Amino acid sequence: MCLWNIHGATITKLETHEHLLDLFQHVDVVALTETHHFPSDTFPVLSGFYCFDVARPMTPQGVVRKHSGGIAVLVKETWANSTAVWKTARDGTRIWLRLGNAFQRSLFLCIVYAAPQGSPYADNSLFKHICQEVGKAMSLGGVLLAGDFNARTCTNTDFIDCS
Amino acid sequence: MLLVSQAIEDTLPNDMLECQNRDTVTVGWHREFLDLCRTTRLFILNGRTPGNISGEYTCLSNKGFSTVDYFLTTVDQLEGVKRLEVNCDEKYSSHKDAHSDHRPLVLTIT
Repeated sequence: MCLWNIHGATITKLETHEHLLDLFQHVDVVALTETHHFPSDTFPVLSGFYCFDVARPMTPQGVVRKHSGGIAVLVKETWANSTAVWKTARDGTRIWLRLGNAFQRSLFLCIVYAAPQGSPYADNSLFKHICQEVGKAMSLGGVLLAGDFNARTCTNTDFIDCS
Repeated sequence: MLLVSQAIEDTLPNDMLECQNRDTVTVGWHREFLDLCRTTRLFILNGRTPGNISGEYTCLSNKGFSTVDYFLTTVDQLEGVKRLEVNCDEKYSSHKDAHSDHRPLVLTIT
């Protein structure tokens, strides 16, 4: 699986650069953040992939300053029948996919783009929402979370240290 | 609230307790992000997975290098995690004609 903040994904960019296709052809899932596509756009579909996407909507003021945010998950067609959207956030910050069929334990894949602190799109409750969704997903299957979290953690521990 | 008895030292392999990161700064949503990890028991794979033991930078913006792109999963999924690589090829990032100021990350799971 490939995760990449691509900083704008156009069909020209995706299809005319062979080294991008080289990167993508070796993986089953390509998760792209900051695709910069509008809700009204049809995300460019690469040959051999099925696309699940969520675009950033208008700002609360109803004004789009520029193309920004957005997430697209390209899934190899061989996996498309066993992949479905589980949840999408209307604010475009995340998309959840459920991978697996009725005979397998599902894997819940969440792709996140957290706007930087201070951005007009920053959402202070984003991580609380993700936490609640992770809890629910864990009760149904495995969880894999990935994305650009705009969080620089240094080497601070990501678990509760009881020592 | 996570119970102390649910802390992960019992389950995360000892060689994975330490998470390396070339980025030595704490900025942005780091508190919220780490709280999410601690509460949900999701673990950062960057810096503790073969292929990316050093915690390679994922972003090369004009403000400097940083690590902001992550993979996380639960202990029970770790057995299936084989490799995580940050692709440092300048075709994809940092080069003036590159596509993004972020590097692609490739996770191999089974």
